[in-house]
Amino acid sequence: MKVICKKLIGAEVIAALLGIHYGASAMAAEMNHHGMISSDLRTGLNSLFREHVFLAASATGAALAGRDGEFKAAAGALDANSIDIANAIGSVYGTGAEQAFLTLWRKHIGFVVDYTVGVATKDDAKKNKAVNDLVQYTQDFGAFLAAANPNLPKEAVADLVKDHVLTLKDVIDAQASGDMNKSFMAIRSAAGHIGMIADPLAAAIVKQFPDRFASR
Amino acid sequence: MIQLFQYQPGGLEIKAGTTVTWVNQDEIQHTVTLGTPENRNAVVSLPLPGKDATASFTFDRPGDYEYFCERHQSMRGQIRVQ
Repeated sequence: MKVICKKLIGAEVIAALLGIHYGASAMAAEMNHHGMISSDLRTGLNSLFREHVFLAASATGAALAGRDGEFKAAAGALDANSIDIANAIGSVYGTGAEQAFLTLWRKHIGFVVDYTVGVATKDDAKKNKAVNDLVQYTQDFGAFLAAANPNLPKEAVADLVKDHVLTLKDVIDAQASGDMNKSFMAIRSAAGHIGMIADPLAAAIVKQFPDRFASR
Repeated sequence: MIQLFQYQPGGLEIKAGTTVTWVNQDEIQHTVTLGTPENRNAVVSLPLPGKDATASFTFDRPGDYEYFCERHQSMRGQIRVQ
């Protein structure tokens, strides 16, 4: 329960700042107020972020099992997803932000790859460095979104991204253990958690640009 | 200005003797380091520790100058000094 509560804190802080109650009925009311477009944005971001989780898990699982061809295909699809996410950011904040976001997003995938390699080679130093790099990355990502949108406080975003990273770490650790049940439970958990980034991000964008979204 | 992990504007033309001031609008440390990651100028690396931090440099000599952020090396800027 403590872990679950902690994971909700970041999303709750952002929701409070947005003036919305982070609950299903209140979120639905907020979405209805702005019509279909805000829900399209929310659905779209959730879809992209969940795809990121599934493709990342596919890539790490293939890498750990030594299925090189599958890893390369999954990594290629994962990068295509990264470009799609960056395009979505760019559609709101411009091409400069799109490129900066893509570079930043790809960076965290690189650190996840580093962690996976560390696990595969049983290299604790490499694993620890990757974890440290990912923790630092959460600050960068939080700062980026905070700079883009005043409704997204840096530390709240950083906490949510940290939890995302930890859910991916759980996936990799489970995959490395060879426990398939544990692996897929961890993947479901990671996919479920990432909605806590997508939902507030969508709501914050709608709040920042009410005319752009309400007018459609 | 530095915002959203970009130097804005990314390219600038100035006259020799002009002082350029960067203002960091991001809540994260950036630097203005002359050169490129592959060919950096170790002498001139200006830290901007966080939001509202500023750093200045006077370009006395004409030429084309590249600069980047040590922490986020894809961030690049150019200044042409006439």
